[in-house]
Amino acid sequence: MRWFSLLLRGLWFRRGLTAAVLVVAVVTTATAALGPLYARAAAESTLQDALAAHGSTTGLHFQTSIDASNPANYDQAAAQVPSAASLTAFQQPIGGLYAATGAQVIVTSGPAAPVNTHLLWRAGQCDHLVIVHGRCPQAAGEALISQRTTETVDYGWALGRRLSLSDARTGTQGADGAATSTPAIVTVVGTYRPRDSAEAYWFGRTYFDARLGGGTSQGREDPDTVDTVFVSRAEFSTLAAPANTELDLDYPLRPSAVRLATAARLSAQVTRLRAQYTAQAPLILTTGLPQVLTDERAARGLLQAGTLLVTLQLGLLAWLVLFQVVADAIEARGNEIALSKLRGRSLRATMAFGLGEPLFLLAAAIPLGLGLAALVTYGFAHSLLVAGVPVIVPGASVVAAFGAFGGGVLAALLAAHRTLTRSVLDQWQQASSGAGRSRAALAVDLVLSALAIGGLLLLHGHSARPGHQQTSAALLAPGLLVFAVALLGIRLLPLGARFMVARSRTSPRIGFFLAWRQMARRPGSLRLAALLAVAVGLATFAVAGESAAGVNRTARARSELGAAQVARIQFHPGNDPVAAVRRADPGGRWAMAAATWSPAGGGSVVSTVLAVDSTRLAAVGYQAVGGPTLSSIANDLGHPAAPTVTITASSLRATITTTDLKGTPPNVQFNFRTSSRSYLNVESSALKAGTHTYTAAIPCQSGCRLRGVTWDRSIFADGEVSGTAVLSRLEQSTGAAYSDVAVDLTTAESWRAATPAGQATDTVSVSERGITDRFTSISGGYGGIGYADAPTIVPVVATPGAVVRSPGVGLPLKMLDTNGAEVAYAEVSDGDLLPAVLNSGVMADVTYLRSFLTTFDDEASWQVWLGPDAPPDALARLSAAGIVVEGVATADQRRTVLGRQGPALSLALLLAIAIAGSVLAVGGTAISLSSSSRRRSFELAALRVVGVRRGSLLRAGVTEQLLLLGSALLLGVPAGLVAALLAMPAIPEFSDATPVQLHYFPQPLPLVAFVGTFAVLLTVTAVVAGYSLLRVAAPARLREAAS
Amino acid sequence: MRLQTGLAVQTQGLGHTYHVDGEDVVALLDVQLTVGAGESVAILGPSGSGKSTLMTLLAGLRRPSSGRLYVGGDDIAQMTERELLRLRGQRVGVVVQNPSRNLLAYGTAEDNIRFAQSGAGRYRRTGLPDPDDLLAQLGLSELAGHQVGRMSGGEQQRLSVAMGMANSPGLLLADEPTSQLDSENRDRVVALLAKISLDFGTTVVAVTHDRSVAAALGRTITITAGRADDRDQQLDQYVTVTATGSVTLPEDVRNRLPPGSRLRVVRKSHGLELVADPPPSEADGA
Repeated sequence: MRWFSLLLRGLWFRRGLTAAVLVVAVVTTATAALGPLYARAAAESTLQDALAAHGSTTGLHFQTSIDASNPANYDQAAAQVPSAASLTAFQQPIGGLYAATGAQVIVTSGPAAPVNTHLLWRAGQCDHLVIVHGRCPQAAGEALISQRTTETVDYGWALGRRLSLSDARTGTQGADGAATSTPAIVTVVGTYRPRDSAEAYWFGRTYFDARLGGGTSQGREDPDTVDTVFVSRAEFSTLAAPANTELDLDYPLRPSAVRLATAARLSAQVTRLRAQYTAQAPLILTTGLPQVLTDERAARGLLQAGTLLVTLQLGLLAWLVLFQVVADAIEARGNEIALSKLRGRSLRATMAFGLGEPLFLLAAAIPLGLGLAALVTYGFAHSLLVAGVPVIVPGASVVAAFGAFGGGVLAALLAAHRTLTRSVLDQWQQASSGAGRSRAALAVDLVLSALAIGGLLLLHGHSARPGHQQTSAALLAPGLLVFAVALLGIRLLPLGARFMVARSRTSPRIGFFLAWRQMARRPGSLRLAALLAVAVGLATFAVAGESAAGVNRTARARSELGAAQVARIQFHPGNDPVAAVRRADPGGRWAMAAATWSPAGGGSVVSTVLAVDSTRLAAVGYQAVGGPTLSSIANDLGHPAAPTVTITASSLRATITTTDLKGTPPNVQFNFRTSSRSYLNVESSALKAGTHTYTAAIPCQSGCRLRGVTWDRSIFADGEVSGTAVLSRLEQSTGAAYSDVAVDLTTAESWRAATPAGQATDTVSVSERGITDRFTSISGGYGGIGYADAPTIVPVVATPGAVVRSPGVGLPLKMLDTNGAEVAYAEVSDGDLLPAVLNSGVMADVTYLRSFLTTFDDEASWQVWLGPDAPPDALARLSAAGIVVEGVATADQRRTVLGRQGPALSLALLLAIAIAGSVLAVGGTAISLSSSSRRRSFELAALRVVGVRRGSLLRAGVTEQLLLLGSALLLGVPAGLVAALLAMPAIPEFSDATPVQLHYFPQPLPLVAFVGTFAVLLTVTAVVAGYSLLRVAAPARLREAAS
Repeated sequence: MRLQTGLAVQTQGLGHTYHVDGEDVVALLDVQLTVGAGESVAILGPSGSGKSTLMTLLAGLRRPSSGRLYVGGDDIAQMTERELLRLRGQRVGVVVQNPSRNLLAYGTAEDNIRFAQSGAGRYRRTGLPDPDDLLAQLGLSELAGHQVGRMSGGEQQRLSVAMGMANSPGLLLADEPTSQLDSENRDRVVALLAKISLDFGTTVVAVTHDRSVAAALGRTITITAGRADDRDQQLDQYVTVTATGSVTLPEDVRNRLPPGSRLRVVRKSHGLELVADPPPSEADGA
């Protein structure tokens, strides 16, 4: 072991160089190992994101129908599903009974109108509900109802109330002994609100779907629906047989239990199970997990390709630095290797002696590099990836680390070849076969440059092809470009230097002359400068590319979400979410009610409708990048309309003057929308010639919105009715004296002909006398005067393709709700891209849509958009205004998720290791300059002896290094910038396509910060190298040269 | 300590020409030298006279341009690189001017000697002296265990000489062994070289420009402008028999044979041999 001890002492003797070689070797090994390691961790992260994004879709859902009156049926069905132990990636199954299959339960409660609901028992249900009052049902006969049901006065539901479930009947025995059934009775023992209706526990089902019925004004019996009523499992046992009940056994996925290593096995297992249960009735298994995993695997390819290309480029760069540093390290041992030859040691022994130290360091770099790579990946995982992602060193990383070792050995062999094969005397004299090697290097550079340019042209040809797609291969483009620029640029540098030599020859500043002359001599360190230029170029590209990509991620997140925060909300049926938001934010600066809605079939809109409060859109929302401004959208949507008139009274009186009345007189009918009913039409007396008052009792103590006054008659009426009616006064009363309704009867824009029912024609005009309607109706049709608090044709902004126009069908286009109510609309403008709905959607004012569509409130998904200026207590203010916030999505969160997609992670990796690579290159340069300073020192020492001042020599040394390092910066930065501008459009930034307009111009601030920092680093290196050179250039050096 | 018999060196018309910037520069021209086995010779000459070139030729570090160069009877001009390595590893020890070129600065004296011995080949290495023994025999025991980097210049140079002797060579070549040394250290190095020649019978050839060093060695060959012919310089190697049968021996021989020494006259067919009786050192052999 004496040789090993000697080796260690040798390493310690050259500890500075040893540390440098070790650092470079470790970084090179880490770079190689980082690729697979990072790719693995990042892929784990994208897998987790994909699973999280699909929520309960990834779970297993077993479903069947059983007669729940027999508890054994449940147990029997539950015994048929796989055991939890065999499905380790899933949580314990959640059992549930849901009555009744395919039908709702009609619930009556005393004198109040019946309502629809569902009965539900779900294992652990109360853990996922907020019990507002009372307690969880524990036994048969107990029920838990939603808080908002109790707050809707119409139903009169309250704690302790007994509810009769007409469609859920209990078995009884009649007086004659025959089995019969009566409605089940449950007592309300508590009230709840969902903790989060989108929680995976609910498996994506709409248990909280309270909505108003269609009302009864048009003769339909359509009860309201209230939120699900929770009962105990025992409740189902009391029902009369057969109690057809939906049995659900849900296995929520545990995403953290799914890893890349197990994903394929899990997918196969689930696919097998699905096939098994498809063939084996009656249990049906539904799950989206295999598809999610398949899609995720396809998306993962982008990440792996990107990571591989990034790692290859940077690995090659690190290897080149390693080559240089190892060469310097071996060169630094030139005397010792010469001594070995002098002592007659064999070539093999000399090689072992010369390569022992670098090989030892390279071997030591394997575990250290792996550790560093794991550490860096851990840092990435901690800051960038999904929390809890494991950092596992895959076999590929170990192979890559050994590959790096092999590359290092090759570098050492190549670097050592010259030293080991030179004669002892050449080694002492540090002689080199200059011209030959220079020509060979030029040839190599030209070939490499040609290859780089060829590769670049190939990539450009691919991207220029029509219909090309972005490809990860484009990540090679910047490397190729900066490589070609660096090699050729550095080759041209001595030519420029020769010109400067001629100019500075007569200058009194000998320092500059010496520096330029050294550059013109094509020093060996030029190759190093080329390497440094490549590193700087790649780092510049990475900084520029990542800064542009970061802006694009922000743009996409904001465009997709529409606002800084979007809160999913619930509100009590009949409450006005738009008004509630306005109460929470009276100034209209930070909150806006919005809703997304998919129109029922039959209309012309084939995509999502985004309903917004156009008065607040510009202040609260984010513009979709590439689309129209929010101000212009708001301007287009916010068609001028009369202010809403809300009448809070028990009686309404209209003064109407009728002339030219022909036919059977129609009844005067007042039209409203109540706070809890969609439409309310109240009849008064028949229209009479002359001026009369028409009075009607109206159930509007809670407030009704005025819609108009119409001339109603039976649809079976025959003959024509016509005349002229002038509405001159409208008064309201709460039981005492009448007072004028606050509505302007003299403004033409506030009134229009009411939407006719059947065949009717109304001509409405406004004068000082009031509102005049010349009406004609035939065949049971009727019309009247409508209050214009919404335009008759709602303006919308639509993306291309969002609206389908049937040939031959004229304007206006229409949207329909499920109740058959329709709204006419017209595209006032179009935009390629709109907030939230992006390139496929329609935007309209929420107030106008609600005016026409009777079930819009129930059908739409409601949100509150919060702007960037929202106060910290914004959600609390919304709650205080009566809005229940279920969850909040933020643009920042979305941006984070986008930043965790494969392509983004590749760019992040490139940024990190490109900067590390450039710092490494600077370090390598410093080492090399230090190693070569001995050769240069002889010349400078001679100059000192002949009287050149120390200051001049220092200036020469520093200038020389500045020229060398500065040229790397001057070549690398523009090359990197050009590479970013050229390559970024071809490099995928997201794992899926986005219509959001992406920009590729880098952000100046990070770029300036990087270039500035790097310039300082290079300047310091140059100054230190200059001083070091001068320090060793003592006149005594010349004695050594002479020996 | 088992030492091989000193190796004789002989050159015939030895010449060497450098090619510098397309021009031929003659460094050595028709050098004729004969150094007997066990002889110690100083090659003296001014700077640029070609003495260092001659030294590198003798060490097999450079190929002669012309002539022949025999070391121990072998023409090293005809040797392959591998044979030259073996020659330096087993038969020729070399001490160059700069200690940093002779020694591993981070090793101890023993490390360096072992390092040098590793060039001797596996089989021959077993017969080489232990580093401590070598140091003791050379009177350098005080250097044992010390790291070279912490030694003085004189100590390093003496250790360099010991390194040259590590493989028990028959020929020790020393290039300016006393340059950059003060007089005390110079004397110690010179004494060491003399001791090697005297005690071990190793042929010593030292290149120097220092006349005092040359004076301490057995014979001096002057090289001037690349030319040297010791046939002209060997007159003082002849002695004249007086009428009484007495001879005056050369000074270096007298140094080896103190007054009263007995010489045995051996009659050979081609002449006579004078052999010290008893030899200067029984153990080492002469």
